[in-house]
Amino acid sequence: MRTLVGRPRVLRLIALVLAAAIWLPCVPTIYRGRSAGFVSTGALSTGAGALMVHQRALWDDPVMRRREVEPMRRSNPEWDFMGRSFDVWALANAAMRDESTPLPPSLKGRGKEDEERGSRRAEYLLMMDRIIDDTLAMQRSRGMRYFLMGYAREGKFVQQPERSQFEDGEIALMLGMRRMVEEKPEYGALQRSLVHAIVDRMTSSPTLSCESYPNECWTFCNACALAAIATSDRLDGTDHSDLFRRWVEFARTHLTDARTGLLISAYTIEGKPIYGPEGSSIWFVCHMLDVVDPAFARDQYERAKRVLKGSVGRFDYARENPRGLHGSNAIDSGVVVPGIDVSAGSTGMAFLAASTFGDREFLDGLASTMDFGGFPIQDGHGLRYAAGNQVSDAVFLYASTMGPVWERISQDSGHLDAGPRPPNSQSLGNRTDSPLSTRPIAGGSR
Amino acid sequence: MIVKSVRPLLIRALAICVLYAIANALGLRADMALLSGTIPTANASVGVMLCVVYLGLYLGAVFVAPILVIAAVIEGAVRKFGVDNEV
Repeated sequence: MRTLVGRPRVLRLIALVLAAAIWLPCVPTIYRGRSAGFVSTGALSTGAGALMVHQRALWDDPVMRRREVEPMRRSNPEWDFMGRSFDVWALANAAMRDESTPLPPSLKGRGKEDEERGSRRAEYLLMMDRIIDDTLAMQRSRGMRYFLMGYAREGKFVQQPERSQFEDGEIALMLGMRRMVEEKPEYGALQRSLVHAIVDRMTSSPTLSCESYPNECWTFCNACALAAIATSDRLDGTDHSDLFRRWVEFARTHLTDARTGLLISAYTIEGKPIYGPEGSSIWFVCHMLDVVDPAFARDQYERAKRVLKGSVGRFDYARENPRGLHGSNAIDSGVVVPGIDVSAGSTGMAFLAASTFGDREFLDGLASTMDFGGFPIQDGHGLRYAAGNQVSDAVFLYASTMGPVWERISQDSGHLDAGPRPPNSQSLGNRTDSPLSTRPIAGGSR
Repeated sequence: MIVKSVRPLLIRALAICVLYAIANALGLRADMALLSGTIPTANASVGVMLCVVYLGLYLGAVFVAPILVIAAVIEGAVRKFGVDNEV
């Protein structure tokens, strides 16, 4: 001891090393268990509620919305569109959560709570309609390329007349989810005609997929379109199970990466691969395919977890490219940390998938990472994550509200696998807790 | 005497925390949007610089400052123990 005191530099170095050994293992503990705030048990959780407040504020305050959306559009106009979709989908789940949550015994027989629920539901519906109408108006007045990246102008769509599956699929799903909460005849007619067009074009395509960009089909967009068709089947009594079966069969045999068994992200309309499996795409695809073919969706999820999940200490994250494969890491990936390949886009979408499959352990690890590296800001305008943007907050919100719509579709669908859902799937009917979730991002790398 | 010897560690920890608090007060946290690929300001290079500065201060406040404080406590205790023994 005396020797150490006499050698101050050595003493300081040892003290610093010891201090680091004490402190560093404590850091993950500080951020652990934050997912609990986003798990909705019946009604919306506090975290989901705070995210909802922010998303609603953005639609109520045009200046705030412009400030948030314009930088996002500068980076990628798709994000503006996707932010709208995720907001509508989240609102639908939130409204259905309110309907399906039994009143606590202390509030039974009181009219006030019912009134509040009724008015909240009406607000959700109003906001959904506002977003849908605004999106359709923008698409009509500015054209479909308003929401697409610049290179959509550089080539010619193979299928004519030109349409983007990216927009058709997400709009059809917005309409479908809104109708799941409450039927609206004009939206019903619009969704049926959109689904009719989507089905016509998919069945006449050699890959059973449609283009989002000139001669570029995205698994992300086609999986979303299939989910939209599933909502229409549920609402309008149609049956497209044959298309679902054929699409999944084709995807298994022609759109799968041989090394990982994961669906590739993009391909030409003739089926030539463009981009391999990507985190920012596959997690979302798993979620959408859960109402088309739950067994296939879960298989893809498990495979994705094996090659995309990473951990540092107790912080979980998702990679953009499967281990050993190098992809394009374009705009949708967000910043990718070199070496460990952490992707903001993939990590955000992983919340959605983990939430879909009730993977609480992965959710906890991701929530810790989000809390540590997402830079949450909570103020009078609700909760947002500074490391993301409006679309990532909307993704997080959707994931944290998720459950009711998917459950309703699954109750009466043309699933390829009509068997019982996995025990940890987010079934509202018998769940004790419901999905959690998060932040970022986008429709695949371009 | 003991406090004086570990003072540099404590001052550095305090400086990191003060600078981090100032960065928060100036709203630099909002510039972290860059991590998602969104450029928050019209000037991308300024955005990158602010993002890097904030990230450095954040990591400093979460990892470095507590280590400096714990190290000060350890060093102070050793010095006290060593000096006491000597006396």
